[in-house]
Amino acid sequence: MITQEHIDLIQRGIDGALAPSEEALLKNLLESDPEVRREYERLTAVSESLSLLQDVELPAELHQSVMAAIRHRRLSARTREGWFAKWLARFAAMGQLQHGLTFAAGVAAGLLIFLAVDPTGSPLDSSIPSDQVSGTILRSTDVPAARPATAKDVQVGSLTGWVALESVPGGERVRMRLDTPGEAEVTLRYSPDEAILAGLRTPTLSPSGLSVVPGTAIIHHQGAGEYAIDFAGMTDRAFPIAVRIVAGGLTHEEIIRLNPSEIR
Amino acid sequence: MVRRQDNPSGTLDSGVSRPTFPEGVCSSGTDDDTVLVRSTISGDQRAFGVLVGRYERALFNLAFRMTGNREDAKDITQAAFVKAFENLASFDTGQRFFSWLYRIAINESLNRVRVSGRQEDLSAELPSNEDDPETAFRRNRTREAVQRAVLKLSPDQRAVILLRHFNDMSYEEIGVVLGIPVKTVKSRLYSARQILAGLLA
Repeated sequence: MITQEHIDLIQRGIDGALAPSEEALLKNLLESDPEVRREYERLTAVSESLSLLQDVELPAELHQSVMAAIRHRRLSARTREGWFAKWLARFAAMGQLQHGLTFAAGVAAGLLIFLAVDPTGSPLDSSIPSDQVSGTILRSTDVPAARPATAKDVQVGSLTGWVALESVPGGERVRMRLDTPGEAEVTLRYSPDEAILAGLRTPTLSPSGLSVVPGTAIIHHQGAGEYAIDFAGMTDRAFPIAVRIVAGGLTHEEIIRLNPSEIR
Repeated sequence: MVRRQDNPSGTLDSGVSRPTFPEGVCSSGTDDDTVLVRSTISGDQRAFGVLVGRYERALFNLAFRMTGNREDAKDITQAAFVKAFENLASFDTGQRFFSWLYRIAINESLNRVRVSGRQEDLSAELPSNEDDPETAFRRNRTREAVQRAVLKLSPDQRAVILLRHFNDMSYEEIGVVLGIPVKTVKSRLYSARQILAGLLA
Protein backbone atom coordinates (compact mmCIF):
# COMPACT_ATOMS: atom_id res chain seq x y z
CA MET A 1 0.00 0.00 0.00
CA ILE A 2 1.29 3.44 -0.91
CA THR A 3 1.55 5.76 2.06
CA GLN A 4 1.77 9.54 2.21
CA GLU A 5 5.47 9.17 2.89
CA HIS A 6 5.84 7.11 -0.28
CA ILE A 7 4.03 9.76 -2.29
CA ASP A 8 6.23 12.48 -0.89
CA LEU A 9 9.32 10.45 -1.67
CA ILE A 10 8.18 9.68 -5.21
CA GLN A 11 7.28 13.25 -5.95
CA ARG A 12 10.48 14.69 -4.59
CA GLY A 13 12.40 12.02 -6.46
CA ILE A 14 10.79 13.12 -9.72
CA ASP A 15 11.52 16.75 -8.89
CA GLY A 16 15.14 16.08 -7.98
CA ALA A 17 14.63 17.24 -4.43
CA LEU A 18 15.91 14.24 -2.51
CA ALA A 19 18.88 14.03 -0.18
CA PRO A 20 21.35 11.22 -1.06
CA SER A 21 20.07 9.04 1.78
CA GLU A 22 16.51 9.48 0.54
CA GLU A 23 17.55 8.59 -3.00
CA ALA A 24 18.82 5.26 -1.73
CA LEU A 25 15.57 4.74 0.14
CA LEU A 26 13.52 5.45 -2.97
CA LYS A 27 15.69 3.12 -5.03
CA ASN A 28 15.09 0.30 -2.59
CA LEU A 29 11.38 0.97 -2.57
CA LEU A 30 11.20 0.95 -6.36
CA GLU A 31 12.98 -2.38 -6.44
CA SER A 32 10.93 -3.98 -3.70
CA ASP A 33 7.44 -2.52 -4.04
CA PRO A 34 5.67 -2.89 -7.41
CA GLU A 35 2.92 -0.49 -6.39
CA VAL A 36 5.41 2.25 -5.59
CA ARG A 37 7.21 1.54 -8.86
CA ARG A 38 3.97 1.80 -10.87
CA GLU A 39 3.10 5.10 -9.25
CA TYR A 40 6.61 6.40 -9.85
CA GLU A 41 6.47 5.41 -13.52
CA ARG A 42 3.01 6.92 -13.88
CA LEU A 43 4.12 10.28 -12.53
CA THR A 44 7.41 10.18 -14.41
CA ALA A 45 5.44 9.72 -17.62
CA VAL A 46 3.52 12.91 -16.81
CA SER A 47 6.77 14.82 -16.40
CA GLU A 48 8.04 13.45 -19.69
CA SER A 49 4.83 14.50 -21.44
CA LEU A 50 5.10 17.98 -20.02
CA SER A 51 8.69 18.21 -21.22
CA LEU A 52 7.40 17.88 -24.79
CA LEU A 53 5.84 21.30 -24.59
CA GLN A 54 8.09 23.93 -26.12
CA ASP A 55 8.28 27.66 -25.87
CA VAL A 56 5.65 29.52 -27.80
CA GLU A 57 6.73 32.16 -30.23
CA LEU A 58 6.63 35.66 -28.82
CA PRO A 59 4.48 38.24 -30.60
CA ALA A 60 6.88 40.30 -32.67
CA GLU A 61 5.74 43.55 -31.12
CA LEU A 62 5.57 42.35 -27.52
CA HIS A 63 8.64 44.18 -26.28
CA GLN A 64 7.64 47.42 -27.97
CA SER A 65 4.08 47.27 -26.69
CA VAL A 66 5.25 46.60 -23.14
CA MET A 67 7.64 49.52 -23.20
CA ALA A 68 5.07 51.76 -24.86
CA ALA A 69 2.60 50.93 -22.10
CA ILE A 70 5.22 51.77 -19.50
CA ARG A 71 6.04 55.04 -21.19
CA HIS A 72 2.38 55.90 -21.30
CA ARG A 73 1.98 55.24 -17.58
CA ARG A 74 5.11 57.14 -16.77
CA LEU A 75 4.04 60.14 -18.77
CA SER A 76 0.63 60.06 -17.16
CA ALA A 77 2.18 59.98 -13.73
CA ARG A 78 4.56 62.80 -14.48
CA THR A 79 1.97 65.07 -15.95
CA ARG A 80 -0.93 64.72 -13.60
CA GLU A 81 -2.28 68.00 -14.78
CA GLY A 82 -2.45 66.30 -18.13
CA TRP A 83 -1.08 68.95 -20.34
CA PHE A 84 1.66 66.89 -21.92
CA ALA A 85 -0.51 63.78 -22.13
CA LYS A 86 -3.21 65.84 -23.75
CA TRP A 87 -0.76 67.13 -26.28
CA LEU A 88 0.60 63.74 -27.01
CA ALA A 89 -2.90 62.38 -27.42
CA ARG A 90 -3.62 65.20 -29.83
CA PHE A 91 -0.43 64.49 -31.65
CA ALA A 92 -1.25 60.80 -31.78
CA ALA A 93 -4.64 61.67 -33.20
CA MET A 94 -2.79 63.46 -35.94
CA GLY A 95 -1.19 60.16 -36.77
CA GLN A 96 2.23 61.47 -36.11
CA LEU A 97 3.14 60.15 -32.70
CA GLN A 98 4.80 57.03 -33.96
CA HIS A 99 6.84 59.04 -36.40
CA GLY A 100 7.76 61.41 -33.65
CA LEU A 101 8.81 58.69 -31.25
CA THR A 102 10.75 56.98 -33.97
CA PHE A 103 12.45 60.25 -34.57
CA ALA A 104 13.43 60.25 -30.95
CA ALA A 105 15.08 56.91 -31.57
CA GLY A 106 17.13 58.47 -34.25
CA VAL A 107 17.88 61.80 -32.80
CA ALA A 108 17.63 61.61 -29.06
CA ALA A 109 20.54 59.28 -29.53
CA GLY A 110 22.24 60.67 -26.80
CA LEU A 111 23.78 64.04 -27.11
CA LEU A 112 21.60 66.49 -25.22
CA ILE A 113 23.22 69.86 -24.88
CA PHE A 114 21.66 72.82 -23.34
CA LEU A 115 24.04 75.51 -24.38
CA ALA A 116 23.76 77.33 -21.17
CA VAL A 117 25.91 80.30 -20.65
CA ASP A 118 24.32 83.30 -19.01
CA PRO A 119 25.67 86.84 -19.21
CA THR A 120 27.57 86.34 -15.99
CA GLY A 121 28.91 83.05 -17.13
CA SER A 122 27.25 81.01 -14.39
CA PRO A 123 26.27 77.50 -15.44
CA LEU A 124 23.03 75.77 -14.69
CA ASP A 125 22.64 74.47 -11.19
CA SER A 126 23.37 70.77 -11.43
CA SER A 127 22.62 70.08 -7.80
CA ILE A 128 18.86 70.13 -8.16
CA PRO A 129 17.73 66.60 -7.38
CA SER A 130 14.28 66.78 -8.94
CA ASP A 131 13.39 65.92 -12.50
CA GLN A 132 14.15 69.37 -13.75
CA VAL A 133 17.01 71.63 -14.45
CA SER A 134 16.85 75.25 -13.52
CA GLY A 135 18.97 78.17 -14.43
CA THR A 136 18.67 81.87 -14.81
CA ILE A 137 19.19 83.17 -18.28
CA LEU A 138 20.32 80.56 -20.70
CA ARG A 139 22.02 82.25 -23.54
CA SER A 140 24.00 80.42 -26.08
CA THR A 141 26.94 82.08 -27.65
CA ASP A 142 27.08 79.29 -30.21
CA VAL A 143 23.59 79.50 -31.58
CA PRO A 144 23.22 81.98 -34.42
CA ALA A 145 20.60 84.63 -33.81
CA ALA A 146 19.06 84.62 -37.27
CA ARG A 147 15.52 83.30 -37.34
CA PRO A 148 15.28 80.21 -39.56
CA ALA A 149 12.64 80.33 -42.25
CA THR A 150 10.97 77.20 -40.85
CA ALA A 151 10.70 78.53 -37.29
CA LYS A 152 7.37 78.25 -35.51
CA ASP A 153 6.27 81.36 -33.63
CA VAL A 154 5.54 81.35 -29.94
CA GLN A 155 3.74 84.16 -28.15
CA VAL A 156 2.56 84.50 -24.57
CA GLY A 157 1.38 87.97 -23.68
CA SER A 158 4.33 90.24 -24.29
CA LEU A 159 6.71 87.30 -24.63
CA THR A 160 7.53 86.41 -28.19
CA GLY A 161 9.81 83.83 -29.64
CA TRP A 162 10.17 80.93 -31.94
CA VAL A 163 11.19 77.28 -32.06
CA ALA A 164 12.97 75.77 -35.00
CA LEU A 165 14.80 72.71 -36.14
CA GLU A 166 18.02 72.90 -38.03
CA SER A 167 20.69 70.52 -39.17
CA VAL A 168 24.11 70.65 -37.62
CA PRO A 169 27.12 68.47 -38.43
CA GLY A 170 26.31 64.95 -37.25
CA GLY A 171 22.89 65.70 -35.91
CA GLU A 172 19.83 67.83 -35.46
CA ARG A 173 19.41 70.92 -33.31
CA VAL A 174 16.25 72.24 -31.76
CA ARG A 175 16.58 76.01 -31.28
CA MET A 176 14.40 78.20 -29.17
CA ARG A 177 14.52 81.97 -28.98
CA LEU A 178 12.58 83.93 -26.39
CA ASP A 179 12.27 87.68 -25.87
CA THR A 180 10.43 89.05 -22.91
CA PRO A 181 10.65 92.08 -20.68
CA GLY A 182 9.98 89.94 -17.63
CA GLU A 183 10.43 86.40 -16.40
CA ALA A 184 9.08 83.22 -17.85
CA GLU A 185 9.16 79.59 -16.94
CA VAL A 186 9.65 77.35 -19.93
CA THR A 187 9.24 73.59 -19.97
CA LEU A 188 10.45 71.59 -22.90
CA ARG A 189 9.66 67.93 -23.26
CA TYR A 190 10.52 65.34 -25.83
CA SER A 191 10.60 61.53 -25.80
CA PRO A 192 14.02 59.96 -25.56
CA ASP A 193 12.64 56.55 -24.71
CA GLU A 194 12.89 54.99 -28.12
CA ALA A 195 16.50 56.03 -28.32
CA ILE A 196 17.21 54.58 -24.94
CA LEU A 197 15.52 51.33 -25.89
CA ALA A 198 17.51 51.21 -29.06
CA GLY A 199 20.63 51.17 -26.91
CA LEU A 200 21.96 54.41 -28.26
CA ARG A 201 24.44 56.59 -26.48
CA THR A 202 23.76 58.11 -23.14
CA PRO A 203 23.45 61.86 -23.52
CA THR A 204 26.63 63.81 -23.15
CA LEU A 205 25.85 67.14 -21.63
CA SER A 206 27.50 70.45 -21.91
CA PRO A 207 28.71 72.42 -20.10
CA SER A 208 30.50 69.83 -18.05
CA GLY A 209 28.64 68.87 -14.88
CA LEU A 210 25.27 69.87 -16.22
CA SER A 211 22.61 67.35 -15.32
CA VAL A 212 19.47 67.09 -17.37
CA VAL A 213 16.87 64.37 -17.04
CA PRO A 214 16.38 63.20 -20.60
CA GLY A 215 13.06 64.38 -21.87
CA THR A 216 12.43 67.29 -19.55
CA ALA A 217 14.05 70.60 -18.88
CA ILE A 218 12.56 73.54 -17.08
CA ILE A 219 14.11 76.89 -17.80
CA HIS A 220 13.67 80.02 -15.74
CA HIS A 221 13.96 82.59 -18.43
CA GLN A 222 14.59 86.32 -18.19
CA GLY A 223 15.13 88.93 -20.83
CA ALA A 224 16.20 87.53 -24.14
CA GLY A 225 17.92 84.30 -24.76
CA GLU A 226 18.38 81.35 -26.98
CA TYR A 227 18.44 77.71 -26.08
CA ALA A 228 19.46 74.70 -28.05
CA ILE A 229 19.10 70.97 -27.74
CA ASP A 230 21.53 69.11 -29.92
CA PHE A 231 20.80 65.53 -30.86
CA ALA A 232 23.32 63.21 -32.40
CA GLY A 233 22.03 61.49 -35.50
CA MET A 234 19.99 62.45 -38.51
CA THR A 235 16.38 61.64 -39.18
CA ASP A 236 13.62 62.20 -41.69
CA ARG A 237 10.85 61.79 -39.15
CA ALA A 238 8.69 64.52 -37.71
CA PHE A 239 9.46 65.22 -34.09
CA PRO A 240 7.16 66.62 -31.43
CA ILE A 241 8.49 69.00 -28.83
CA ALA A 242 6.05 69.94 -26.12
CA VAL A 243 6.51 73.53 -25.06
CA ARG A 244 4.89 75.14 -22.07
CA ILE A 245 5.56 78.74 -21.26
CA VAL A 246 4.24 80.54 -18.22
CA ALA A 247 4.79 84.29 -18.33
CA GLY A 248 2.95 87.26 -16.89
CA GLY A 249 0.26 85.08 -15.41
CA LEU A 250 -0.49 83.51 -18.80
CA THR A 251 0.20 79.99 -19.89
CA HIS A 252 0.95 78.91 -23.40
CA GLU A 253 0.95 75.20 -24.17
CA GLU A 254 1.65 73.69 -27.51
CA ILE A 255 3.13 70.73 -29.23
CA ILE A 256 5.32 71.93 -31.99
CA ARG A 257 5.98 69.53 -34.81
CA LEU A 258 9.46 69.87 -36.11
CA ASN A 259 9.80 68.32 -39.48
CA PRO A 260 13.32 67.59 -40.77
CA SER A 261 12.05 67.31 -44.33
CA GLU A 262 11.33 71.02 -44.25
CA ILE A 263 14.95 71.89 -43.73
CA ARG A 264 16.66 69.48 -46.11
CA MET B 1 17.00 18.48 -0.60
CA VAL B 2 14.38 21.18 -0.71
CA ARG B 3 13.84 22.81 2.62
CA ARG B 4 10.40 22.91 4.08
CA GLN B 5 8.51 26.16 4.36
CA ASP B 6 5.91 25.96 7.06
CA ASN B 7 5.28 29.64 7.45
CA PRO B 8 3.64 30.93 4.28
CA SER B 9 3.70 34.47 3.09
CA GLY B 10 -0.07 34.77 2.94
CA THR B 11 -2.76 34.19 0.42
CA LEU B 12 -2.65 35.20 -3.17
CA ASP B 13 -4.37 38.47 -3.82
CA SER B 14 -5.22 40.37 -6.91
CA GLY B 15 -3.05 43.35 -6.16
CA VAL B 16 0.66 43.83 -6.08
CA SER B 17 2.25 43.38 -2.76
CA ARG B 18 5.71 42.66 -1.61
CA PRO B 19 6.00 38.94 -1.01
CA THR B 20 7.66 37.69 2.12
CA PHE B 21 10.48 35.45 1.06
CA PRO B 22 11.70 32.67 3.29
CA GLU B 23 15.31 32.62 4.20
CA GLY B 24 17.30 30.69 1.66
CA VAL B 25 15.08 31.63 -1.23
CA CYS B 26 16.32 35.19 -1.27
CA SER B 27 19.23 36.28 -3.35
CA SER B 28 22.02 38.30 -1.89
CA GLY B 29 20.58 41.48 -3.29
CA THR B 30 23.64 42.07 -5.42
CA ASP B 31 22.63 40.18 -8.51
CA ASP B 32 22.24 41.77 -11.87
CA ASP B 33 18.47 42.08 -11.65
CA THR B 34 18.83 44.10 -8.49
CA VAL B 35 21.26 46.45 -10.16
CA LEU B 36 18.82 46.94 -13.01
CA VAL B 37 15.94 47.50 -10.61
CA ARG B 38 17.91 50.17 -8.79
CA SER B 39 18.89 51.82 -12.06
CA THR B 40 15.25 51.87 -13.10
CA ILE B 41 14.21 53.46 -9.84
CA SER B 42 16.91 56.06 -10.42
CA GLY B 43 15.28 57.00 -13.70
CA ASP B 44 17.07 54.81 -16.22
CA GLN B 45 14.21 53.33 -18.19
CA ARG B 46 16.67 51.49 -20.38
CA ALA B 47 17.45 49.30 -17.40
CA PHE B 48 13.84 48.24 -17.14
CA GLY B 49 13.92 47.52 -20.86
CA VAL B 50 16.69 45.04 -20.15
CA LEU B 51 14.56 43.37 -17.48
CA VAL B 52 11.65 43.18 -19.88
CA GLY B 53 13.89 41.60 -22.48
CA ARG B 54 15.17 39.15 -19.93
CA TYR B 55 11.80 37.93 -18.67
CA GLU B 56 9.27 38.60 -21.43
CA ARG B 57 9.66 35.12 -22.90
CA ALA B 58 9.19 33.39 -19.57
CA LEU B 59 6.22 35.54 -18.64
CA PHE B 60 4.54 35.22 -22.01
CA ASN B 61 4.95 31.45 -21.97
CA LEU B 62 3.66 31.24 -18.42
CA ALA B 63 0.65 33.37 -19.32
CA PHE B 64 0.02 31.36 -22.47
CA ARG B 65 0.12 28.07 -20.58
CA MET B 66 -2.21 29.54 -17.98
CA THR B 67 -4.76 30.87 -20.47
CA GLY B 68 -4.20 28.89 -23.66
CA ASN B 69 -4.67 32.08 -25.60
CA ARG B 70 -2.01 34.27 -27.22
CA GLU B 71 -3.92 37.53 -27.01
CA ASP B 72 -4.64 37.02 -23.34
CA ALA B 73 -1.03 36.03 -22.79
CA LYS B 74 0.15 39.22 -24.45
CA ASP B 75 -2.20 41.36 -22.37
CA ILE B 76 -1.15 39.59 -19.17
CA THR B 77 2.54 39.97 -19.95
CA GLN B 78 2.12 43.66 -20.62
CA ALA B 79 0.00 44.22 -17.54
CA ALA B 80 2.48 42.36 -15.36
CA PHE B 81 5.42 44.44 -16.51
CA VAL B 82 3.48 47.68 -16.13
CA LYS B 83 2.43 46.74 -12.60
CA ALA B 84 5.98 45.79 -11.76
CA PHE B 85 7.25 49.10 -13.10
CA GLU B 86 4.66 51.09 -11.20
CA ASN B 87 5.39 49.27 -7.96
CA LEU B 88 9.13 48.99 -8.33
CA ALA B 89 9.75 51.43 -5.51
CA SER B 90 8.01 49.04 -3.10
CA PHE B 91 10.05 46.05 -4.26
CA ASP B 92 12.53 44.87 -1.67
CA THR B 93 15.79 44.64 -3.57
CA GLY B 94 16.99 42.06 -1.09
CA GLN B 95 14.59 39.62 -2.72
CA ARG B 96 14.51 37.92 -6.07
CA PHE B 97 13.05 40.11 -8.74
CA PHE B 98 11.84 37.29 -10.95
CA SER B 99 9.85 35.66 -8.14
CA TRP B 100 8.14 38.97 -7.49
CA LEU B 101 7.50 39.41 -11.21
CA TYR B 102 6.13 35.88 -11.58
CA ARG B 103 3.79 36.48 -8.71
CA ILE B 104 2.37 39.50 -10.46
CA ALA B 105 2.04 37.56 -13.71
CA ILE B 106 0.36 34.62 -12.00
CA ASN B 107 -2.10 36.96 -10.28
CA GLU B 108 -2.89 38.60 -13.59
CA SER B 109 -3.33 35.20 -15.22
CA LEU B 110 -5.59 33.86 -12.48
CA ASN B 111 -7.73 36.97 -12.64
CA ARG B 112 -7.98 36.68 -16.40
CA VAL B 113 -8.81 32.96 -16.35
CA ARG B 114 -11.46 33.39 -13.70
CA VAL B 115 -13.11 36.29 -15.46
CA SER B 116 -12.97 35.31 -19.12
CA GLY B 117 -12.52 31.57 -19.22
CA ARG B 118 -11.44 32.10 -22.85
CA GLN B 119 -9.06 29.48 -24.17
CA GLU B 120 -8.30 27.55 -27.31
CA ASP B 121 -5.40 28.86 -29.29
CA LEU B 122 -3.16 25.91 -28.93
CA SER B 123 -1.25 25.95 -32.18
CA ALA B 124 1.10 28.69 -31.07
CA GLU B 125 4.17 26.70 -30.28
CA LEU B 126 7.41 27.10 -32.11
CA PRO B 127 7.68 24.84 -35.15
CA SER B 128 8.92 21.36 -34.49
CA ASN B 129 12.53 20.61 -35.35
CA GLU B 130 11.94 17.07 -36.52
CA ASP B 131 13.02 16.38 -40.07
CA ASP B 132 10.46 13.67 -40.60
CA PRO B 133 7.07 15.30 -41.26
CA GLU B 134 5.16 12.34 -39.87
CA THR B 135 7.17 12.39 -36.67
CA ALA B 136 6.72 16.14 -36.42
CA PHE B 137 2.97 15.77 -36.94
CA ARG B 138 2.67 13.11 -34.24
CA ARG B 139 4.83 15.11 -31.88
CA ASN B 140 2.70 18.20 -32.43
CA ARG B 141 -0.49 16.26 -31.80
CA THR B 142 0.96 14.97 -28.56
CA ARG B 143 1.98 18.48 -27.51
CA GLU B 144 -1.48 19.76 -28.24
CA ALA B 145 -2.96 16.97 -26.15
CA VAL B 146 -0.62 17.81 -23.29
CA GLN B 147 -1.50 21.48 -23.46
CA ARG B 148 -5.21 20.66 -23.51
CA ALA B 149 -4.72 18.45 -20.49
CA VAL B 150 -2.90 21.24 -18.65
CA LEU B 151 -5.79 23.58 -19.40
CA LYS B 152 -8.19 21.10 -17.82
CA LEU B 153 -6.50 21.54 -14.47
CA SER B 154 -7.92 24.06 -12.06
CA PRO B 155 -6.13 27.43 -12.33
CA ASP B 156 -4.45 26.85 -8.97
CA GLN B 157 -3.19 23.41 -9.97
CA ARG B 158 -2.12 24.74 -13.35
CA ALA B 159 -0.06 27.48 -11.76
CA VAL B 160 1.81 24.98 -9.60
CA ILE B 161 2.50 22.63 -12.50
CA LEU B 162 3.71 25.44 -14.74
CA LEU B 163 6.01 26.99 -12.18
CA ARG B 164 7.49 23.60 -11.39
CA HIS B 165 7.89 22.22 -14.89
CA PHE B 166 8.43 25.27 -17.07
CA ASN B 167 10.03 27.71 -14.71
CA ASP B 168 11.96 25.06 -12.82
CA MET B 169 11.09 26.50 -9.44
CA SER B 170 11.60 24.70 -6.17
CA TYR B 171 8.68 24.02 -3.85
CA GLU B 172 9.79 26.94 -1.71
CA GLU B 173 9.94 29.34 -4.64
CA ILE B 174 6.53 28.23 -5.85
CA GLY B 175 5.20 28.80 -2.35
CA VAL B 176 6.61 32.30 -2.34
CA VAL B 177 5.23 33.16 -5.76
CA LEU B 178 1.76 31.80 -5.00
CA GLY B 179 1.72 32.77 -1.34
CA ILE B 180 0.95 29.26 -0.14
CA PRO B 181 2.74 26.82 2.20
CA VAL B 182 5.10 24.24 0.75
CA LYS B 183 2.78 21.55 1.98
CA THR B 184 0.02 22.98 -0.19
CA VAL B 185 2.42 23.27 -3.13
CA LYS B 186 3.17 19.56 -2.86
CA SER B 187 -0.43 18.50 -2.51
CA ARG B 188 -1.53 20.64 -5.45
CA LEU B 189 1.34 19.31 -7.50
CA TYR B 190 0.42 15.73 -6.71
CA SER B 191 -3.26 16.30 -7.48
CA ALA B 192 -2.37 17.98 -10.75
CA ARG B 193 -0.08 15.11 -11.72
CA GLN B 194 -2.74 12.58 -10.91
CA ILE B 195 -5.24 14.37 -13.12
CA LEU B 196 -2.72 14.72 -15.93
CA ALA B 197 -1.79 11.06 -15.66
CA GLY B 198 -5.45 10.16 -16.10
CA LEU B 199 -5.96 12.54 -19.01
CA LEU B 200 -2.80 11.48 -20.84
CA ALA B 201 -3.11 7.74 -20.25
